[in-house]
Amino acid sequence: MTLRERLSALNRLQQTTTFKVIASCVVIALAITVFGVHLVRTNSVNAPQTSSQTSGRSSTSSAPASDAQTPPADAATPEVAGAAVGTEAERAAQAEAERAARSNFEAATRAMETIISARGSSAQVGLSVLAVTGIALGAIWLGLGLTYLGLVVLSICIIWPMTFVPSLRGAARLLGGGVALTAAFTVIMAAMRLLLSAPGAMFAVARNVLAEATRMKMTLIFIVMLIFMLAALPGLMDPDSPLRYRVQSFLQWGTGGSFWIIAILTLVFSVSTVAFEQRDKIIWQTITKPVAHWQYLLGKWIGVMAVNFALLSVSGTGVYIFTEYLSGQRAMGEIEGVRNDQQVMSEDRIILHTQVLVARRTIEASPPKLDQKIFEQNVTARIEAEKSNPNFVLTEEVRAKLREELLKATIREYRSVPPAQAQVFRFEGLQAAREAGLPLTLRYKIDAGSNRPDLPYRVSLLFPNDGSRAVRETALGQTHSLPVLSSAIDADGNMDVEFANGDVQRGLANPETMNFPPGGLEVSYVVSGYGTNFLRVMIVLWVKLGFLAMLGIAGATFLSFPVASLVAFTTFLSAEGAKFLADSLEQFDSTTASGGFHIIKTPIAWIGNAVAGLFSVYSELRPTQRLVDGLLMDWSSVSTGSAVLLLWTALLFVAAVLIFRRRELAIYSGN
Amino acid sequence: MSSNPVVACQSLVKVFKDFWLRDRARAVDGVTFTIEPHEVFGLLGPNGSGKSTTIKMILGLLKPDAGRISVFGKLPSDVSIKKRIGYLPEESYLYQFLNARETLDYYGKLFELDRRTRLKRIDELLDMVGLAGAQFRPVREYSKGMQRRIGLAQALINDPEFLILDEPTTGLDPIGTRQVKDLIIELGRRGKTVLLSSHLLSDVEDCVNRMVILYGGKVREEGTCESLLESEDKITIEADTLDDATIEEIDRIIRSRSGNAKSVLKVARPRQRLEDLFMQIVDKARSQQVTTSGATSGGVTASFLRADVQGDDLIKNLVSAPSHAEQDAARVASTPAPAAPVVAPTGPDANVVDALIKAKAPETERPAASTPARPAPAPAPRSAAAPSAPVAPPAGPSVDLGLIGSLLDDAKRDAKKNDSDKGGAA
Repeated sequence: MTLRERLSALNRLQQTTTFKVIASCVVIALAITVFGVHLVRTNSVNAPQTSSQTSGRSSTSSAPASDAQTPPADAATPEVAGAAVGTEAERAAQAEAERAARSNFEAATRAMETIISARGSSAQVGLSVLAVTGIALGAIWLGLGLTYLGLVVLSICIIWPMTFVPSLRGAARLLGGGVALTAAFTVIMAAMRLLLSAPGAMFAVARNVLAEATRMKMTLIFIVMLIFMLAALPGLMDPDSPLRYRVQSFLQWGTGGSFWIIAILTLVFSVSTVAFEQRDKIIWQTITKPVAHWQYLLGKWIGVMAVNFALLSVSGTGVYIFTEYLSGQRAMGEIEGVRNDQQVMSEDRIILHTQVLVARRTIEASPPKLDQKIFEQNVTARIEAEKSNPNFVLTEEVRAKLREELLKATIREYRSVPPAQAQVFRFEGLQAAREAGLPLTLRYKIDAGSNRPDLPYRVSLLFPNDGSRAVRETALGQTHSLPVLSSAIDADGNMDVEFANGDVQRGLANPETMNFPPGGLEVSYVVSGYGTNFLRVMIVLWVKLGFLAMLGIAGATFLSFPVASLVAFTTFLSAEGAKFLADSLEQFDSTTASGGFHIIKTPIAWIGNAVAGLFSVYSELRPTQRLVDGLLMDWSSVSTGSAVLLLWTALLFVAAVLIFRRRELAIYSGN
Repeated sequence: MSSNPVVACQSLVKVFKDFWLRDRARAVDGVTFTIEPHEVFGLLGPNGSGKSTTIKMILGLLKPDAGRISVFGKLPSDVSIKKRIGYLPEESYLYQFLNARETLDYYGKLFELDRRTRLKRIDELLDMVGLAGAQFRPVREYSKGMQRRIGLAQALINDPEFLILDEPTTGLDPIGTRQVKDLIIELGRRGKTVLLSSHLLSDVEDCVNRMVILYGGKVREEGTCESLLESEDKITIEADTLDDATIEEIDRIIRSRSGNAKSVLKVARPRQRLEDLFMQIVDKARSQQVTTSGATSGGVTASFLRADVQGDDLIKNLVSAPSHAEQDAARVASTPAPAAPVVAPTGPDANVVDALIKAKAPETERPAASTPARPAPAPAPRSAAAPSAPVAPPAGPSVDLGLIGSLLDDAKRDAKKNDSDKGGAA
């Protein structure tokens, strides 16, 4: 028997049901064994460590949680002339209060660590085992079991020896990642083909799109680019940077980069698959068959979405698995990488697990409660003051503009704390955190003067509800975080924080007024795990891709390939940049000096506002940014955002069908 | 004319406009015709005469600017009628990334054929168009002729009631051309309606019952092949080789009967058609099992397209078959040619003819006339008979046996009177 015949025989064997059943049983048994062994090991490791946890924790939690850039707590602080200096007794009292406050924050830190330990790695290992098992079963039942087994063995034979040569390790990692992702992609595509084998013209069109995606050079280039980007990305991370930054960078590039590549592919592919069929007249033979126009277009969309699903699944799984691997690497302040089940954690790792690889709900400080009467008086006074200007003309627009300016100024003033003074900020809606007893993270950012990097400010914080307090040295212009116990939340779910511009215990004041910029004062608490948040983010990305796919298809129903591509890309970029556009327009003065119509600026503002408003839902979803920042993408946001995007998709579809039905398909618009 | 024509076009107008909506070309200008059920209808005209534009309007790919079209009594945009239509465009527009088998599978799925039927038809069609050996090669690697063949196969995958063929023989070799013509004739026999558009006159002449001739977007002529092509003032008699004396005698008879007003105008040995010669050479090569990497000459017509289908289809056909005679004719058409099936005139004058014209073996294997049996009421199409599948009526008008009989009666009388009288050959 020749090699070819042997291979053919093996191919026939892997197609048989008996083989599939037996192989599936083997794979499931292996998966159960692996997970079982992991559970046993985890339990046996955790049990003896319990007694040592306290000492381990106390050794690391002596420093309150803050960013690594924060100087040590006992760092020298420049004294400010005129600052009050207390007596010995007062100092002793302050020291005692400081110790008490510190013990509060130590408790909060310990609570954080407990949560990190509790989330354990079992769920992650379980998910990983489940994913690998699913892919293996998929390969087996698609008749690729032995093929993939051979591929794995061959890859190991080639890649494993490469890992022993230091200069080839990078290439080995790249090759291994590429092979794994390609294998996963082909399995998912085969599954998609099987799924789209359902009877009906619409599914026939969709299945044809799948074949087109994998056989046309244009789409293949994107797919190869995506796979190699994901495989190469881990090698580009700087191993000396803080672990949380490495993870965040990988998430940003892995998820965001993948989305952009897939989005561009989606636009190009969805436009080309419809436009080229008209240009090349292939559509004549399809549309003269019993295929309604809506079936044809919907089939195209389903096909593109199936390709997107496959690509997003592969990239998402790759990012998720590598993030898990990356999170086990050495963090700042650690000699070597630790596992989650080990209780000795650096600050870097704590922040990673409490602020990045989680799903946090964030609440910003509430705006000041304005006395409307006083505010209106201020507005009137401002108008009266402006009247001294001979060019000033009072119109409703001008009045509204002045009101807005005054409101912004009031909020700015509220968020500014002069030296040696304090301001209380309130965070509302924290009932859930209080009930769950979860620790919170207070994130704040302070600007002062020109944000001198060599001049850290001492900031005093007081939580009136439980009396805890802290004094922090704070680098200017950088975000800092502080763990807070849920006892700081009152019965109504509100948490007040008093920020004092100086060290109240030592009676030191900072030299200048400190300001909290927009977004610079928020409190967050963990409400969900990273895994489920990741899943929700992937769903949102897929829905966004669905909108883009329909956008491309709709454009191509009546425009030639270049024009439809241009329209689709412009719309995509507008949608992605809508939030930036909206923020920019707030600073954009669209009227004349007297508040009238400006022939250029005003129409620009109208168009800009229209675009920003139209795509506000799309841009405000920000799934990748939420994932990178460890912010919750909750189901209500997912469902609301998805519903709006799907509605747009449906509207585009209806418009596309109406246009397509009126089109004379024997005339290509590009000619 | 049927009250339910398959296609009815009335005063169709199609004007192509430029970007500024100014008239650029008046492709179709007031075209009116109908295509009856079971008819092989020809759309003839030079390039740019409006044939393809008319077809595209029938298919709904273009919308008429004026006039009306109905297909199976409905608008061309109606999806339900498309299940009954097969369409071969003037060029093959295929997915280049699919292979032949996948292409047919895709189109089969569009017709929602079940898997079993689809696979059976794909196998038969691939065999029929001679692409079974190249079915797993991507279509982009195919030659133009091979793409044309797969295009034809896709047009037939649904066993259409109404087949639209736009320049079907373009790009095909003589074997393929002959097969297409045979197929059209066979489909016509089976009662299918075929719309054949071509500027190749022989294509149309060999296949269609009725035709319109377009020029400049207008119908210039319409009618059956016979009515359009038959010469009223001349007649051709085809016989075995005759000596000069016999020819002179025939001429003399003609002159004497017509008072010298008529005579034999031309005596020539009929030339074998190049198409027939080509087919003989290819048949010989095939019999010697010469291999080829391209399309083969194809097998028999797919069973679902033939009249002699089996099983359930056969029962259905029996129920709906027009007559046994038609079935027999179809069967004869699909069987190998007999040696020399000359149909002799029957009746009392047959012996005289034999005596006058000493029968010899025919010089070609081309069978002589046998009036084709057709289910359609329309006149029989002309034949493009293959040596392996003789189906053809003779080219030109049918022979008037009565006239030959009377001529031969005169000949007998004259022979008695003047044995030695020899007329001059024309």
